[in-house]
Amino acid sequence: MIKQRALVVEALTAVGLVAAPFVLPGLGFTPTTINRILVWGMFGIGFDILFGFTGLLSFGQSAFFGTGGMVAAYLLTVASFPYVTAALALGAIATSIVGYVVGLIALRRTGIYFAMITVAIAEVFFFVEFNPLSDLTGGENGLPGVPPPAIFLGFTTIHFDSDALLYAFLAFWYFVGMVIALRIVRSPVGAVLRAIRDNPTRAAAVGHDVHGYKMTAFVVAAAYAGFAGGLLGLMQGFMPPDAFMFETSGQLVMQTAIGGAGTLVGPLVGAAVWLYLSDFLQTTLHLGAAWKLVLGVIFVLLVCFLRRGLIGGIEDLYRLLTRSRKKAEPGEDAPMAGAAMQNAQKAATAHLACPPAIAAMPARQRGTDRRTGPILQANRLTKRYGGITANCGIDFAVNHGELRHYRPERCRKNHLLQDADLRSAAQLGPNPVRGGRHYRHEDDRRLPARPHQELPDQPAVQPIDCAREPDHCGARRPARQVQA
Amino acid sequence: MVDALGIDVYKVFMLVFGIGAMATGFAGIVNAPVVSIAPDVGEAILVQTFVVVVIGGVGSFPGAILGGLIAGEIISITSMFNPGYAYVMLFVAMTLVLVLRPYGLLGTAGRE
Repeated sequence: MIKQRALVVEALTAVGLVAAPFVLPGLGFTPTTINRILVWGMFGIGFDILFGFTGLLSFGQSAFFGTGGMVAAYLLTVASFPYVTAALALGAIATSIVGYVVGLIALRRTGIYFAMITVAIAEVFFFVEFNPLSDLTGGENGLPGVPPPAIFLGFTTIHFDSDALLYAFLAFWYFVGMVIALRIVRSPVGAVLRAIRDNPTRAAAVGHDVHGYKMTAFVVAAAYAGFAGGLLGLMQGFMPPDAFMFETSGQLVMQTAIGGAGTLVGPLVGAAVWLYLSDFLQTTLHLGAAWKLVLGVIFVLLVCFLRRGLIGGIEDLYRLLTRSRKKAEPGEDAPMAGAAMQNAQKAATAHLACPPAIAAMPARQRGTDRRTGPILQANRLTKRYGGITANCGIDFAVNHGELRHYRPERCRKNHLLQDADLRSAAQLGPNPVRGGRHYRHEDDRRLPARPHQELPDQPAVQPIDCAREPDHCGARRPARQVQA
Repeated sequence: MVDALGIDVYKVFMLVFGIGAMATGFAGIVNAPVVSIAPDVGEAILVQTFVVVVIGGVGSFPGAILGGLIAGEIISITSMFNPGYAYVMLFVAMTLVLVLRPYGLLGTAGRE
């Protein structure tokens, strides 16, 4: 997670961007590679807001990357539009509109179906660009002759035509994009996005308009992708049609996974690793097309052993080092430390480890809702897994407008209340919940339809004693039957 | 939950993955005499297979056959009019199916 300390990440980003053109060529990066990394990093910021912070895995970002690039390139070449930055902005705006329309279709579903729809839509874009729109986009030739960016300063015009100047242009926009993304992520809206990623049901139950927030993240990601696509055209002086290919989306997802999702800089690091390996393995080691073999092995190793990516690994290491130092100090100074000392230490550590959290955006209340009293009540709930009784004799009632925390966060095994009651609380609750049609879970049938109605005393299916009836346990027994 | 019932989930997953790989390999063998074999033969069919399964319904064998039939017909019929739109129509169909019946034509409603 991004640290909340003010301006640290911004300052680090700025220092890194200034230092990169002096440090990286020494490590074997060519100037073109560095520029390309920045474009992919820009593309990745938006995707990270969508995937890393909102938890929506889209495999269709190539559609937006290509659309933004094509719009900007078309304006600058065929339409002879003179203002480069304005063309980039128009490309990003056009892509946001496209992203909104795509989001209307894709966001109706979640999880794997969302990913599938984005793939399908991206493929539609690819084939539309290739054939029906080939007069506008150049088909498989792309749009050549995109002019380098130029800025008129009043007395002179800067033409960003060399690699170094182009780097300055790209780095400036990457920095702006990073600052905006950090602002989004640290805002109350960002807190809601993370809530949706961690537990969408709960975010809906609390009253947030989950669909609206997802749409926001989707459109933001599309705008970033469109802007980055425009930068790609400027950088290469040519807008390639491969930007629309599925491979672009796949590369973006892999780069984000390598660098670390939910870190914003992760995609940039991932892009650096990817493009460096691509250069190094192909040019220096002469592996040719086999370089992806090496890349694949590295990717699998990273995903297996460094699940939060390179940036996540570095953060974990940093946290581990700082925490072990904190623990070691009081042990030497005061071996018989009192409770007060320990508490102070704990508070200090907690303060350092968890910087003050940002309150999530408050949910809006419907003015027309006048319900009072308990909206959900259950008595003597029992949950058994096979012969093991996990919970027994739980009574609870939820009043209108009341929030109840049933289970510790991060404990995903306990589905007793998460599945059933939050869903029904979301339906009966005080706040508008979009997408209520998702609550088609089978358990809902056994839930009270109205307040004050009690659940049946006995579980619908008697738990079977595994010791006595071994035949009924194991593979032959459908899992669903044991739900009490 | 299934894990709690005493089933080795990891082993089952491994077995299922292996069976899937075997079936795919067999499909490759059957396919080999029909098309010319090239290193990227798998990549070309990957997306089409995906579309077929999604249209027919994930988790339904008859659905896969129906999906294959529909996908083939869409490509052939559209190619009669304008070959450029064949894949556009295919993915439009897939998008429509996903929006209207996200679990596919013959699939059953499962978890989202």
